[in-house]
Amino acid sequence: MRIAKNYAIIKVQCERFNSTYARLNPALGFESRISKYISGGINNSVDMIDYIDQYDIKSIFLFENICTLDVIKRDIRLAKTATEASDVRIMVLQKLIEYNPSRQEDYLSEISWLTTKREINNRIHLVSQRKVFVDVERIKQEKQELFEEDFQKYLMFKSFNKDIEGFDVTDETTIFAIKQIVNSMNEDIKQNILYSQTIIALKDLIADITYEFVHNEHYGLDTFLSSRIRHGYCKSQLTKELREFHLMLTTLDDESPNYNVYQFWDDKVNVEEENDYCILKNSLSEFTRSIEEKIQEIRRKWIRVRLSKDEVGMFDYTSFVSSMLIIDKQNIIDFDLMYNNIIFSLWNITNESLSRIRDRINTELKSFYYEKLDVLEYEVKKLENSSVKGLAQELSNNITMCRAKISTIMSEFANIFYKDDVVYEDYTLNDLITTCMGIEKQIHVDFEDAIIEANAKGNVRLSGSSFSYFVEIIIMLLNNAVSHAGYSSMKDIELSLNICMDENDPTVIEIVKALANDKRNWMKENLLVTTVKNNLSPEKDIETIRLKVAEIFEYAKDAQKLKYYSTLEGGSGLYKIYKTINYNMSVPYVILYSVEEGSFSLTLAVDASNLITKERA
Amino acid sequence: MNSILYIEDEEVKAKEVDSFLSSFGDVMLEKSLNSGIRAIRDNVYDFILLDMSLPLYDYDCEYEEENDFETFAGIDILEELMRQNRNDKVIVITAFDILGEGENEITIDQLNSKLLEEYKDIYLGIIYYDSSSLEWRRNLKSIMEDFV
Repeated sequence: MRIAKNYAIIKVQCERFNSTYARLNPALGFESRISKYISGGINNSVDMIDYIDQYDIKSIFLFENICTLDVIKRDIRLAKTATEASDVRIMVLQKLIEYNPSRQEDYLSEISWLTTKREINNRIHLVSQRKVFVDVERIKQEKQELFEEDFQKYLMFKSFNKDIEGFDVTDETTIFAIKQIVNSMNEDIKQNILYSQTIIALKDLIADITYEFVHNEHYGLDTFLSSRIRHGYCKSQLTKELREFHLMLTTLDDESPNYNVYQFWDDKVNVEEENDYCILKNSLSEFTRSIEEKIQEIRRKWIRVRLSKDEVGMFDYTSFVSSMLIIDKQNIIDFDLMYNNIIFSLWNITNESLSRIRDRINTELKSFYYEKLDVLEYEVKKLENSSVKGLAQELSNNITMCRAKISTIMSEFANIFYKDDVVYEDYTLNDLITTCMGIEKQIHVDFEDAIIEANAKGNVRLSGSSFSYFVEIIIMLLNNAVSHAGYSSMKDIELSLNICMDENDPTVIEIVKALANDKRNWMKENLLVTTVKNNLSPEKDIETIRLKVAEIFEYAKDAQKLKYYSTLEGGSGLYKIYKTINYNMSVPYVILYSVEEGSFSLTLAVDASNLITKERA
Repeated sequence: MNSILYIEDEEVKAKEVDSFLSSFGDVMLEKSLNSGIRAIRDNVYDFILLDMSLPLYDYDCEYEEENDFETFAGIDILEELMRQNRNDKVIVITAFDILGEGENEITIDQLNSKLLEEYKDIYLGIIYYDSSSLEWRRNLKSIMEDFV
């Protein structure tokens, strides 16, 4: 089948194609794949790009809406792994830059996101393949519109004149203080209609984020619990050794309550042993029933999400929304920060649930298994002098061997009830440079045409947890340098990246001197200094740039103002750095800039004392 | 001997079903939607048994965040077979009695009807798998023998 010539038809099909609802609800029709729109003869990504290339203006639509990462990942002609899929999407985005230069910045930003994510993922230690995972970033992407709308409604009602000093709920000193704040909030809700509207809007936002965290059909907690634990794994983990030692019987059909079938033992019994064998089988049947019922209980009552009071489950979020309303006192005006804080608290409460489940497995469930094995052993031993004594002895031995494995079974099962935290490798300054340069080469195809100087100075290893943040910041600085230099060709650009953690370095000494009057005591041995410098086209008016940058930095003194002015060219980058360092890295920092004739440089100096993992060599 | 492709990510279930299937033919096991589709493109099979819900990639190959779990992966496999005009016969074997979430929820009986309607030329039926019952073995045997 050729691509439909009618644009409207393609659009309708594409909408269906991209609709998760259609994909997941068979009643509405099954999701089609890219193969529906692209005929045979497409064997790889290059074929596909050549093919779509023929469609001129429609190509933009196809490249943007059909050849998305999610689609490419699902068509093995185009990519066999997630990494290949991201390569193909980058190829598509580069085509889009060619076709639709007006949106170059958006496409470059997606390339940057893809390459950065990939490079960062390369440095992750895989701890486990089955830990509790909620994809909060993808939930945010999918529901951004809904959440932003809730958040804007909240901001509309919120009065910032009230309680203007922020209150950090994560730094709660005493329960009493919290209670007082809650009481005062409750009083305000009763007396102040506007405040009550504010809280209702905030409640909607928290409730929507909580619902998606828990029930998002692709990335939410319950989908993970259902697909990865409740169905399949839970039962197989809790029965595999029992079955291995032939201690569990089966039913004849799914509806039958009688566990009375087992070929393995049946084959060992003669006609004259039938009566005693029946007694033995009853014991095994009773044992099987008790284990099966316990597993059902775990699936139905333990590994379940409880969002409302009438639900049953150990992942209990029933009080979350009301307990989270106190976040109002933080006077947050940035959506990302609000989202991150709510997610942080959701993970806290989830971690508590996970801990309760682990405890229950390692105590209650383990004891239950031992107890049931003891009962079975007692019943079996009664038959050691009967006509089925050989069989009873074999069973007794199996029970003993199985008992020895219970502890391992339980700890393996309990160990999946941890948050899937990634662990990044610690890194050197050279690693940082290499990664960032590698990413830039992928973002800008002609990056190597530029005159580039990249240096790392300092023998230090930094904690892996800060790696992704530094990479994101440096990539942003480099991208800004390339796009604001004022040159259309990469050949004209001169770029330098210097990362230094050396107390004898003149730049470091100079910065520490400049900060001598700062109330914070900056130590030169802990200062990590990153400088990105670029040349400026002669067509750029230095005075205009100087004024503009000065204006942005003036706003930067006040985070709230900075947020409002983050839409200014250059302002968004600074705001992103501000957020990343303050909320993700939590380290003291200063940003310095210099606009000179023909060049611009930006220096970020952070106190890295908490990030160092190994002393200098 | 029949050639059978079995696509299943759950190790214990895979082992049990695989051992049952071996009396019907040569079984090739794949663990994800991606590897399953690759196997389909490389070979033709008499039977394809598949779990309806599968990860996009084998768990040992991809970082978790990149590995989406597809509730209706089986449908993608049926679509690929239809696209290639293939005649391999498909049986779905799932431990879920209900698939999807909320308004997208569907029972396996409803799913079975839909699949029979949409893929009648290649789809033979759905089996509910419960390791504590013998019923899935009986049903699977019956579907396969009926067809043969």
